[in-house]
Amino acid sequence: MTTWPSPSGIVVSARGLTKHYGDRAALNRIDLDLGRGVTGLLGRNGAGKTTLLRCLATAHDPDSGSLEVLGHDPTTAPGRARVRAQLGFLPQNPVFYPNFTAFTLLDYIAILKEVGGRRARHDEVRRVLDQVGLTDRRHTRVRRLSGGMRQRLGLAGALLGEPGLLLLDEPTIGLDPEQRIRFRDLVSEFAATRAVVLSTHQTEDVAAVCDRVVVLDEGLVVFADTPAALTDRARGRVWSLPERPSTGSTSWRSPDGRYRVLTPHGAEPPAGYGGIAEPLEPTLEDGYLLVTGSAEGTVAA
Amino acid sequence: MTPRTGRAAARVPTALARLCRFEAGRLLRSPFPWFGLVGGLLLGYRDLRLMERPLLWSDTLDSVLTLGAYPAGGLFIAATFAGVRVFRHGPDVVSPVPEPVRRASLLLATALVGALHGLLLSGAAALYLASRRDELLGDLHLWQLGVPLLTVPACGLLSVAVAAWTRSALPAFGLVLVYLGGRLGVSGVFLGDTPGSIGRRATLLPDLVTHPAYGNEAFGYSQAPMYLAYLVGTLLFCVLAVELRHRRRAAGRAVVGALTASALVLSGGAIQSLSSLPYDQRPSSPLYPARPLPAESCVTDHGARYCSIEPYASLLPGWGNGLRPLVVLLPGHVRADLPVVWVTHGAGEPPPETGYVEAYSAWDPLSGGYVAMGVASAALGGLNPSMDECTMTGQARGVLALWMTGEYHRAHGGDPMEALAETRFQPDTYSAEDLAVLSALNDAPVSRVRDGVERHWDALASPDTGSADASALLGVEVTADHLRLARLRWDRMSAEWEAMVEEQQAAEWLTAPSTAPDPPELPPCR
Repeated sequence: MTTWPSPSGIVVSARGLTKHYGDRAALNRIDLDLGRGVTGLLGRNGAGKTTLLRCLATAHDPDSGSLEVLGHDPTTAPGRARVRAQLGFLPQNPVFYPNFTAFTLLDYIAILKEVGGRRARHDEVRRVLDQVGLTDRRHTRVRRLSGGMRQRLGLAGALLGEPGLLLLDEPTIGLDPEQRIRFRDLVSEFAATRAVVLSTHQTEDVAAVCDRVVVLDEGLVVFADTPAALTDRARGRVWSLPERPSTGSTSWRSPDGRYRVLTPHGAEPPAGYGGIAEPLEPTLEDGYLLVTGSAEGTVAA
Repeated sequence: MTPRTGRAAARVPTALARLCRFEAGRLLRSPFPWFGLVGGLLLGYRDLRLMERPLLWSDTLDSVLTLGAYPAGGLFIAATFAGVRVFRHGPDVVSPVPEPVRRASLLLATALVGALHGLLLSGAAALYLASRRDELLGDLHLWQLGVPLLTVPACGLLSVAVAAWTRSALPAFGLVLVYLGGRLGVSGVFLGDTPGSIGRRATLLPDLVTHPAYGNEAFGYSQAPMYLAYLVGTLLFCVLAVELRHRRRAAGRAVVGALTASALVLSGGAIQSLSSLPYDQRPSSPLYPARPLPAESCVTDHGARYCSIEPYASLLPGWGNGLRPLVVLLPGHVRADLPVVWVTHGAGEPPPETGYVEAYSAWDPLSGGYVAMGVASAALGGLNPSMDECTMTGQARGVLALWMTGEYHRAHGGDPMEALAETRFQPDTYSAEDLAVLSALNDAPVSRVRDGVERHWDALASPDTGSADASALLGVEVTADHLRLARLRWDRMSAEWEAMVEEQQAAEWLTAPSTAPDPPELPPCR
């Protein structure tokens, strides 16, 4: 079993967490501690990211293992209720009611999250609408909002009630660059005192806002440390070549016409290119590709 | 199962109240129930305004109940969308509020909004009644006030139950399509007459909750305590059906399923009780409030007597005036022997034990024509030709009854030949020669025919006197033109009759092919 460095201020603790869909293990005896700050969850499609988030969000019960979220056991009814009361969850496909206005939808979610009385609830709705920049769209029906606006509305719903733990599944899909920057700022600010788990395919987002990164592959945690540590995994294994090497490495064509090549099995240039390969500064994406084994194949230009 | 902590349990009423308020607000903002309410009020105002007779509490209660079907239909649609939201998408929403509380809040909100619409209908009816300044007759029991408050919620809760099981808005769309289709006559095209009862029920779908024994209920429907039992059973059934859908454990499903079935039995049993009693037993049945019958009231107009129970005495002069053009054609001694014209309004009052001609509600020229034919036929000693027991073909009295009824129509601005519409004309009811004599009588001066009737009454009223003899007795000449036009009319009416019979036989054959022989020829009326 691999032991990963623990974060500070544990908010989520999983031991032997397992979840099956039929014969397939979506989560396979996962041991994981998540603390305050932003934790990025990376992995291929089907790696178990969404299943893990849904278990943390109490939408799924794990098949086995123990789980503690915000100090409560979400597999019991009282524990589930307490976790839900302190949770903000933006699922991958959030439920939107097209005939609701943005304000009404958030008001409904706020009631379901037991956010105070009418006045306090409406104040809270106005606050999160302002946070996601939808104040001027508060009376617009959801069906008239663009995809990006709906995504922000979903985020606003997750932010309602000052949750202690924010679970975001692919939150930046559909956001334009400005909105993504605003989103990063929002999440960073929120995570200063609380915990955020951000499941995404966007390594730039992880690099920009995450204190920690967890990489899942086929239901297993294959990496859990800081983004810098993940990047370091690729240090000395990224090269620039004038042509695509024949086998054994991942490569893709850069805008300058040269090929960026990852060498998964050692800090040596690809065989036969010793004299002409130039070492490159690694990125988080390089590290991610290496730890998930994706660097074994060839990425098309 | 882990017991709920005290703190969590204390949160439930608060969450229920907040969600209920939210759901109620959504339902109140939906336009559908309001369209239904306004439409129902307009229709109700029109119907009650046309009702010139004195009003009973039963009239008012039945009207409110019937009109409740309109906002009920609207609430059905509105609650469907709310139900789909809660039942289809609700499980995906991660919330500390337990799902049973969310379900309960929708059920409660639907019931409250439905009750509000029932209250508004009742309030509007009360305002209207106050503006009429009529004395409301009859009794109103305290429990009857609950009926309008439960009919609309019953329809709304039914919608929630349907949404819980289907998780789809299709039933609501289906309701709108079927209802509008029915109103536009589309259902007649698709359903035809064969499954007529199904068609009628489908087109009046919202009425199904308020009038579940449609077409089979009697007067006093909404006044029976059993109707309240039906409504309570329906409400319980809907709530339990929603709960049954969400019970996961076998034991829980069995218990809730048994309770749901019990509620269904209560509801269905109540309806069965309401509709299965013989009509003449209903007023005295313990299911119906027994009330003493008011005294009888009568007036005499030109020798003819018009009677009713006391509450409808004000209708009698209208009938006297309306039928006067016919009555004055009768000899004086005949008028004295006429059966009473019994004016009713369907309140279950028993008719007189002696012979009578029944008239319904307030007189109007159209409905009065049928009564006029009844009076004329009775005066002439024959049966109403609309009966299928005998035929007056070739009899003078049959033609004379038509002539008198025709004069009634002429006096009220109609065509004398409209008298034929008061009979269920079939080829063996009258002959073409009878119609020729009728045309000749219509063309002759009324005073001459009336004098002839006065002089030869006994002969004309005899079943042995032929229609040809009548023209001679009354001094009226039947010309070749009369005969030719009468034959044309007789041919046309016969052809229409045959076509109608064929159509009816085809429809009957589709549902239940009949091997019964053709009915025997009718004997002459004696």
